[in-house]
Amino acid sequence: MAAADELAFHEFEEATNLLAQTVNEATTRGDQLVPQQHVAVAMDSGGSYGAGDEVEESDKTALLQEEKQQPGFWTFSYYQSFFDVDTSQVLDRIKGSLLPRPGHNFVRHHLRNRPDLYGPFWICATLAFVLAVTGNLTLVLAQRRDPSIHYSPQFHKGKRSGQGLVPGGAGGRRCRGPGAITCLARSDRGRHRHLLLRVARAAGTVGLPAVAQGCPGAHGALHLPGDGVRLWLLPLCLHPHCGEWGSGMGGPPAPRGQPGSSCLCHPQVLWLIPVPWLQWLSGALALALSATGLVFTLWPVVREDTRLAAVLLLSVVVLLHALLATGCKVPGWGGHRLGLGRGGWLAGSDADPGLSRFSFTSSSRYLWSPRHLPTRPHLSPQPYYCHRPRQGPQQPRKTGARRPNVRGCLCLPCPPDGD
Amino acid sequence: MAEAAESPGDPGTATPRPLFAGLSDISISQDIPVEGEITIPMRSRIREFDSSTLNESVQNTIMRDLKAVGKKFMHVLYPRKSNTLLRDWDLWGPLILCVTLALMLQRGSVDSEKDGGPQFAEVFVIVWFGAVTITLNSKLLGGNISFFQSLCVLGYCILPLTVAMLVCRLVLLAEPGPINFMVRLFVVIVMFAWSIVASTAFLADSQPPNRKALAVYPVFLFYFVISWMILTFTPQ
Repeated sequence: MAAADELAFHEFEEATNLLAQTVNEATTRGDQLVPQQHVAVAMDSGGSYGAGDEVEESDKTALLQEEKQQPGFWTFSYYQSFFDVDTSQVLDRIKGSLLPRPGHNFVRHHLRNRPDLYGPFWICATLAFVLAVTGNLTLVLAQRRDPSIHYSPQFHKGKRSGQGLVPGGAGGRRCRGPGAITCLARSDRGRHRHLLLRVARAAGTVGLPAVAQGCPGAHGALHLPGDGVRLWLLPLCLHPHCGEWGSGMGGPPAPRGQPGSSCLCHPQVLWLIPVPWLQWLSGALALALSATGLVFTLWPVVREDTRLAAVLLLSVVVLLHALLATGCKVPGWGGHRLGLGRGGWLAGSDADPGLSRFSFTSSSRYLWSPRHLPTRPHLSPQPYYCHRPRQGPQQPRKTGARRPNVRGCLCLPCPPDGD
Repeated sequence: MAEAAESPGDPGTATPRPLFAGLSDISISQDIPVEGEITIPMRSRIREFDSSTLNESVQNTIMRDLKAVGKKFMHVLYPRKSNTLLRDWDLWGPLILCVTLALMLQRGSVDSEKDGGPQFAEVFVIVWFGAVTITLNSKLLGGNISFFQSLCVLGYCILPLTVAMLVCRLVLLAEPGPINFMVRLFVVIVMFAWSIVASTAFLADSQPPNRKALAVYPVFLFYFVISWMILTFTPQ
C-alpha cells in the first residue's frame, strides 16, 4: 500500500510532534506507529475519527482515564504509588530541603507534584532511633564524668520516643506537630473532606493508619487543581525533613519534601557535648533552619489569603515545630536531662520522695561497673539521705557520718538522729 | 496429573520415562484397562516422594529440618551469591535465632524498673516487626521478592549478631573496664558489617537497580538497632 507508506512517512513526523506535545501518551503510542490504523488516528487527531479508529481512541481515552484514576486504597499498587522514587531523587530532595532558598519553591522544584511516603516514615524512624541512641550515649558520658550516676540501657525511653515521633502517634506533643499543621493547612484551603481525620491525628490518637486513611483523600486531592491540593501530603512530607537540618551531620536520607523533623536528627549528635548553652544554641539553630524551610515552602501557598491569616498560620506552624524541637530536648522524652546541668534524673531527689523510688535503675550497672556495687538498693518509700553532694538543698548530715567508700551512690538511708 | 492424554495403551512397556512419568499413567479410563506393571527407571526416587513424610520417624524429620537450617547458616556465614536462602526458604532458622537472642538479651530482674534492658517480648517484637516493615518497604519499592523469602533472609542474617551476643556475654564475664568495652565494640561492629553484607548479597538483586540504596538503608537501621541492644547489654 504505497499510499499507506506515504502516509506512514508523514504520519511519523506528525506523530512525533504529537508525542512531543503529549508526554503522557508517549510510551503508549510509541510502539503503535507502525500499524496503519494508528497512523490514521494520529493524522486525524484534532478532528473526526473514523469508525475503525474508535476502538483505538477509546483505548487511548481509557488509558488516560486509568492514569487519572488511581487504584482503590485496598490494593497494594495504590500504596506502591507512594513509594515511586529513586535513590537519586531521594538524595536530591534531601539536599533541597536541607538548604532552604527563599525564591526556590521546594514543592515545585523538588517534589514536582509527586510526593512520596518513603521519607516521612524512615526519617521519623531514624529520628526516634537517633534520639534513643544519643540519649543513651549522653548517659554514658555523664556517668564517666560523675560516677555516682547509674547507667542503664534506657530501652523504654527509646520506645517512648519512637512512639511519640510517629506522625499522629500515641500521645504527646510531638505528634501534634505534623498533624496539626496538616489540619491547619487543609482548613485554610477549605477542603473539609479530611479535616476531621487530620484533627484526629492532631489529637495523637491515630498512628500511621491515619496516613493510610488520609490517602484516599490525598490521592483525589492530588489531582484537584490548585496549590492547596498538595497540602495534604505536604506537611507530612515537609515535616520530617526539616528535622534534618541544624546538626552539622549528614543525616539520614530524607525522602522528598520533608523539611521537618529530620532537622532534629542532627542536633542530637551535638547535644552529646555536655555544655548547656551550646546545646540550646544548636537546638535553636536547628529549629531556625527547619522553620525557615517550612516557611519558605508554605509561603507561596498561603500568601493568597489575607495577610493576617497567612501570618497566623505560619506562626502556628513554627510554634508547633518549636514544640517538637523542645520535646526532643526536654528530659523525659528521650532528651538529655544530663545536659541541663543537673546530675541527671537518676539522682535521688528529696523534693519528691515518691519519685526517688523510681530514680534508680536498681539492678543495672553502668558500663564500667565495679564488681563491688550492690545490685539492689532497697525501694522503701522513705526519703533517702544521700551522702554524695548534690545540687539543691543540702540534706542534714550527721556529724561523723562517713561517706561510703564505693563508687556510685547507694543512697542508704541514714539512721534518724537520736531515734 | 491424573489425566494422561497420551498414555497408556500398554503400561507394561518398560520404556525409559522422565520423572513423574509414572504418575501420568494413573488415569482411570473406561475403555483402556489399566493393569500390569509400570517400570520406571527412577523408581527409587518416585518411591521416596510417594511415601508421605508422616510415616517416617520423628528423628528423620527433625534431622532433615536441622540440616536444612544448618546449610543456610553456612550460606550466611560465607555469603556468596547463591539462591539457596531464597529458593528453599524456611522460618525455623529465624525463629531459633530470634529466641536465642531474646533469651540472652532480656534482663533477668523481676522488679518493675522502668529503664533497663529490653524484655524477651520486646526483642522478639522488634525483630519480627522490623523484618516485616523492611519486607513491606522493599515490596513497596518494587522489589520482586516474596514476603516470606525476605523474612527468611533477614532472619537468617541475624546469625552473626547472635554470635556477637554470645561473645559479648563471655567477654562480660571477665574484668570490666575500657578494654572490655573496646573488645565488645569491635566484635559487634564486625558482626554488624557481616550481617549487612550477607543480607545485601541476598536481597540486593531483587530490587530495581536505581533503588537498591533505598531498600538497603532500612536493613542497615534494623541491624543497627539490634547491634545497639547487644552493645548496651549489661548483665545483672
